[in-house]
Amino acid sequence: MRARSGRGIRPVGAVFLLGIAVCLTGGLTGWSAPARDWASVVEAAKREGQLVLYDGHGGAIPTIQFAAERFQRRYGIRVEVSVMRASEAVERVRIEQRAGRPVADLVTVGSTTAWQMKNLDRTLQPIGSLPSERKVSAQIRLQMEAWGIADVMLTEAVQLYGILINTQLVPPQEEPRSWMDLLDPRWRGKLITDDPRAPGGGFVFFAATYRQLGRRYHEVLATQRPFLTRAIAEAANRVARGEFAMMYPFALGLYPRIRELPNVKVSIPREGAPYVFQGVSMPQTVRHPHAARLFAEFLLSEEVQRQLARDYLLPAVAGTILQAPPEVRGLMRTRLWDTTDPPRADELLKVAAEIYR
Amino acid sequence: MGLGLLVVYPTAFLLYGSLYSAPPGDPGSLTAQGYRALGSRENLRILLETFGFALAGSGAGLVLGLALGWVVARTDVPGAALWEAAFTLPLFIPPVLMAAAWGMLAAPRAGLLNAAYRALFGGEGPFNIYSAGGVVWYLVQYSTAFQLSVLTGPLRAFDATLEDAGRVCGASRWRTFWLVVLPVMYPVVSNAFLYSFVRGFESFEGPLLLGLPAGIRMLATQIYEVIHQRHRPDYSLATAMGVVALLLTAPLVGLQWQMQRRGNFVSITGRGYAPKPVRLRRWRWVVCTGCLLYALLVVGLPVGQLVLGSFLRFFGLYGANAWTLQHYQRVLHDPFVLGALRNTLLLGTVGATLSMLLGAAVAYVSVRGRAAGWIRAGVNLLSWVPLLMPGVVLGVAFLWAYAFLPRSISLYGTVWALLFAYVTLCLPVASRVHAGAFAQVSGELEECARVCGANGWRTFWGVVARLVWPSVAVGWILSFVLIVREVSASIMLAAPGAQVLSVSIVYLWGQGRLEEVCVVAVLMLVPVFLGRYLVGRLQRAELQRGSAGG
Repeated sequence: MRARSGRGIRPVGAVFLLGIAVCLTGGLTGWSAPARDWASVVEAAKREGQLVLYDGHGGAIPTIQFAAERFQRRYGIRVEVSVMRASEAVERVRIEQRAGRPVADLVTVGSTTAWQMKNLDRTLQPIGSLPSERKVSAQIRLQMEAWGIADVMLTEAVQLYGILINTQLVPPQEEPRSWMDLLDPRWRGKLITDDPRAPGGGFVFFAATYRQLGRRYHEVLATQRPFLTRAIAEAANRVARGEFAMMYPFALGLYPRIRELPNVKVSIPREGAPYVFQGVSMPQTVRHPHAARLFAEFLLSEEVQRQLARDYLLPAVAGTILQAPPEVRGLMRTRLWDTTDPPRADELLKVAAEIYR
Repeated sequence: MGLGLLVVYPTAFLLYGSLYSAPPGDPGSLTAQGYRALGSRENLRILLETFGFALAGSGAGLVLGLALGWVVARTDVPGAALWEAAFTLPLFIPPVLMAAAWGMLAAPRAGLLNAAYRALFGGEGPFNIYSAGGVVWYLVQYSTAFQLSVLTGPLRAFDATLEDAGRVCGASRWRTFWLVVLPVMYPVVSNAFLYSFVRGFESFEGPLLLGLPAGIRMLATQIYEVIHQRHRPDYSLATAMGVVALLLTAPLVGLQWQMQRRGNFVSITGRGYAPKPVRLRRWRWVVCTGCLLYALLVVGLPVGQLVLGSFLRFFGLYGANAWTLQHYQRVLHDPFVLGALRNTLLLGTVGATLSMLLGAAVAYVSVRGRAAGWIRAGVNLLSWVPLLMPGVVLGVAFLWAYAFLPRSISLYGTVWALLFAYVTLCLPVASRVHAGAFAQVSGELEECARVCGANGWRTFWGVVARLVWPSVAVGWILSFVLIVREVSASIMLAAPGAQVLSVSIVYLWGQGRLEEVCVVAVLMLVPVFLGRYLVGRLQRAELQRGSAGG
């Protein structure tokens, strides 16, 4: 099967061009100068003394808990983290806003969720300028601007997706070097995948490869009868246990838990890694707005960004990855291949459901 | 009034959601779109298959539950109390763990059972838990455990003179059981079966983890898909599914209630009763071996897998260097899990107690009350409603209902919201247990107490409650376990800073920390298992005393 050649400018290229344009013209709305009265924000946050965070990643990104503990230690502001699925977090925020009973001050989101909450639910407010927002890499900021969600979502990291391989079941010479290698009939019935029919990593992979490789790629991949699941951490465990030869797309954020095992390794095919931005958003009405903004700022701090790198997430602050351990840097120096297009998410989810019945 | 707030109010939100094009709070219009979508061939097939799975699971569960319940309650089999506690153990294992454990045991390639088969006989192993048979097996385990725990109390309290009468008339033991014991036990048996059937109809975790991979869709997993697996949740379709589940199962409740009203099921009267055990004689050790084998199958294998998992460095990888205590150390020092454990124990204790009290009131009104028939039927049906709707959609209903309470009632976002939800969710089991037990106690005992000058409360506590407490103790444990295991409402309502165990399990599971989930499961199992064992001992002692006094 041949990869479909792209027509027009591809997203990564478009972001690059947009970046040059922005540099020439002098900035984007999200690039306004840091608030002069940040000290007063910190003081107000301490007076609020509390913060409620809905972790819609379902606990899959351990850095959130790390950040909450460190934030509490540093500022004396109690952070209550409620772990749930993304869909539950979105509905809780929606109903709280409609009923006028705000509880969540922040919610962890991916870019597609943030787009939905801003444009469809209308439950988010701009986070406002933060002292460290300029540290966020230009590529991220430009893409967020392109989607129109830069004001409501602060990206703290990028989740990259590769392939998790059981080395006892996949000899080195047979390891996939390209995403196309997953179509090899020898892997029929031996693959486990994050369900592409639901928002999440599987859908990110679907959207990226659908655009890059075309519908036919997925029609053939579906005939490989991959095992569809939404329990992604458990799926990785099942590869380690030898139930499946490979898991795709494998969120690198899951790797720290299993990387010590002697029989697994991660591979990122030569085309590059599908990716998604991870961050936080602030609901329309909140009880602790200053604490929420201070926490968002804290996510860009050096200690949290370094920890993100240790957790195999690409830190949003440019340059942090250079301080990461060598094994992390090796994986993170991959090409960011493609990601979802939030406004088209609904349409593509329907296509995924058509193909993967 | 309490029933109205606990049951009718959230149900009204579900009905609203099913008839409105947008979820509460959003602009929309009246529509039957959700119901129209339900009429698709795919959805009808799912409904039919769900019915079939529930019937298979609860039917087999009834047969096994009755047989095993009779053995542990009415015979002199060695270690009866231990077997009873063991057979009910699956109830105390979070469903997600049970499914995971069976996945480890009977996965097509890597399952331990298949590995053992390969080692012994060669070739591929015959077991595949990801199949229709796997889903039915999952349902049977829970159904048997539930029905057995509900049936053993009444079986134990059954007046043996009724059986003796049957034997005197020349009937065999089997015929006596079929013609005397079973008809008299009808309220308890039908309640247990119906409850089990409906729980099977709305079963979620097993079908999600074991059924979906094999392309098997059931009602609850379909609702889950509609709410959580789409970019925009289709609440009108999901809630319509919930309402249809209610409408399909409610007539069964009505039918069972009608049949129950027509019969006389009294086995405990003022003349005293004699629950003496059946002597198995030479069959004693054969039956004991059968109990051991069944316990090994439903408890030894999955629980053993979970206990092993809690000590493994990595769940599923075995070897010389594979064992560790570090997961226990982590869990026992994790403030998040410990806080959740504390909250769960508190909510479980208070919630189970409140639901048993409310269940007693509901059952007393519907079984013993002197109100008009339609009021009693209405109260009975209302007490079933929380069970008749899938937990996935009920969690959303609680969320909507509590968020839109009047401003002066600050329930949403507090730990009280969870308590209210738990009491509502436990109401069906609490009222079923009481109803079955009340139906077996003769009204003449109360009349006697009243004649002697006791008021209504004193009569209830002094006479009825003393007679039904063995069943009530089991009901309390079942309610407690339901609360500990409950996920759907907990995730939607858990107050920030007041997490509960089921949510922390989701959290650990989400991170792939299956070994720590096993540790939590073991920590949950130990006290509940001991409690269940002690209650069984107490029940036996109480009955022996009653028997001696009678």
